[in-house]
Amino acid sequence: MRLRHSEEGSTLVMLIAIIAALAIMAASIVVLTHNVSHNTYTDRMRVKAFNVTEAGLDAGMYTMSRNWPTTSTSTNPFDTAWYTAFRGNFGASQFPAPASGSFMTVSYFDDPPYTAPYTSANPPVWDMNGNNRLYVVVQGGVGPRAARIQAKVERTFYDTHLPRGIALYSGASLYSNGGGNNPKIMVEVPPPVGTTTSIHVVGTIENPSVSAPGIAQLTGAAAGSVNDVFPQTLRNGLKALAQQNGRYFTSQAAAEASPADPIWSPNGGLSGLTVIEDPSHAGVTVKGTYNSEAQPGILMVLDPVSKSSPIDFGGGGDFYGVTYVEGPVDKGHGNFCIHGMSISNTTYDMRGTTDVKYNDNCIARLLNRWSLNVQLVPNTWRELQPQ
Amino acid sequence: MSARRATHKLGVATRDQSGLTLMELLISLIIASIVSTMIFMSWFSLNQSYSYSVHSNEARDIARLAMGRMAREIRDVESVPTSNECAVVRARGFWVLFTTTFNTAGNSNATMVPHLAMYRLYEDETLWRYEDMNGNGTIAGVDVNVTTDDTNFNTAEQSNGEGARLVCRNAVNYVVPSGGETPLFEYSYYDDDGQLQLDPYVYTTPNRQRILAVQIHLLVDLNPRRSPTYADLLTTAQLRNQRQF
Repeated sequence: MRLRHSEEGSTLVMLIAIIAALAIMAASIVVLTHNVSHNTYTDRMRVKAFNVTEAGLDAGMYTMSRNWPTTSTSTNPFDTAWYTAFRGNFGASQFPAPASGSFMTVSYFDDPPYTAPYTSANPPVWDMNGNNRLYVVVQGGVGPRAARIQAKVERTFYDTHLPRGIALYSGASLYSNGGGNNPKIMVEVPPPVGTTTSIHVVGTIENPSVSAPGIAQLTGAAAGSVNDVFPQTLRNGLKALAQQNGRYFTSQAAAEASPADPIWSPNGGLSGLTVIEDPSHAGVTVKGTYNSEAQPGILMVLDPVSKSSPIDFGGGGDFYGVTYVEGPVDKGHGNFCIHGMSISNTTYDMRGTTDVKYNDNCIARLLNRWSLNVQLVPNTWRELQPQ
Repeated sequence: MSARRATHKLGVATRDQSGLTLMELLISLIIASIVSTMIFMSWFSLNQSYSYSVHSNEARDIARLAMGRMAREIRDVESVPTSNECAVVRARGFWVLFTTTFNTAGNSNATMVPHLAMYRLYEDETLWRYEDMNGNGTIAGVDVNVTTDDTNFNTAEQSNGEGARLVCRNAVNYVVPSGGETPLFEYSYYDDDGQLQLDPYVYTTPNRQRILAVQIHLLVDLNPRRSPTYADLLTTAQLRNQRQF
């Protein structure tokens, strides 16, 4: 009888019902919390994928600034090594591998117009039209999310603003022994129509026959200052560029031992942009051939205080581009030839057998010679659907 | 003998079933009521808490999605190449009108012309998105030349506006803080003196061309019609196509 009484009532049923309800609610909250944390994770991965993609665009632009694809045979700079190096910047714990596709892909193609057989559906993958502009498409994937960006980018160049038509400038006098070696200053490629080829000598010209007929000889005040020809701001800018890119040296030996660089020094040594500022004022002797008409260079020998470091063109050879020396130009030897423009802040001695041939192609090409960087073309940045 | 025994047995049984005293009954009732009250209060409290969790999470998710969508779309604004107007066509505290190709199929084609899109927050606490669906250069059914800023928008736009889509409810920027308001959009730009400004209203095209970033500040009531609980979401979208180089 007592056992039957103990088993009467609904307490147990109610308790089970309440426990069941609580269990359901607890399970729901667990599911809800899981959903929230999953959403948060997905959001974070989306943001990370976007950030990785933007980083890829920036890194890609930097890489392209040094490896601009100018021809159909240009090597794609985004090779396995590039992707490996890029991936190395992002820890796998914080930036897990994508669920599908690659962590990073970078592709590029030319902007119109381009010629057949290329079409918008099949554009050339180099700067076919030579306008220094390309489209870049970057896709980054992190975990379950991916982002894709397209933008047009353009190369920017260091603008040298060199005056056209000036074959030689001397801040003092120009010496020449005359004889059968004159003229030693000639025109190889004339400046644009309307511009006269000239030499500027602040002091005197020892022998007027030093330059070929038709080349104007400006002396005294008419010669202007060196800043009119090769401005201080340009000199400072080139020096800074050289310092930033490993082309600034304190001796000729160091400069000649320098390695090649695809942009700043195609053949190493004194080629490309070379700035030498030797504290011992030993000067520089230039021998051999440096640069080319297609890829001219600038050689600067700085000595701003004493202006005593000379440059000596010795032996056979050619220099394509601009030479600038703050000290004197020593008597040249051999059959050296400067194709472009030559500047001395003091005396210019041409009593040897060195020639200067004004070459406008060299001066014009120095305007777009050194690509500083690759930047976005405004109003071309788009976020696309990842593929 | 058997009758007496039977009576005796009956007597014992009656004594066993004599029940509780009144006092015992009252005490047990009081205890039972206290216990059941506690159980029910816990039950209702849990239920309410569960309901709040579900609804507030949903509201928070929607608000976060709205923020993400606005930030990504505004980040992507792009002007129409043939137009003198910049990418941000109107820059106001509670609405923004801009041109974009964001999330449009085929926008990998660089020649695709951006179209108008707009976000507008109404005083009825709803945030709507509109879009020039047919690419004719206007958003039909929406007043983009309102003279009085950010008040009394015509709510008929919500049903008549081209491409109208409700993005978020219970956005309380108009009434928070108490007695004031919190602009949904504020714009960073350089003024004529080169000073960086943050302003909810930027007028004239030359000024809007200088907008570098849009700060989006969305306040959402997670517990509507009850004591308010706000989700305070703040982000900044840098306009990639209006960077200064």
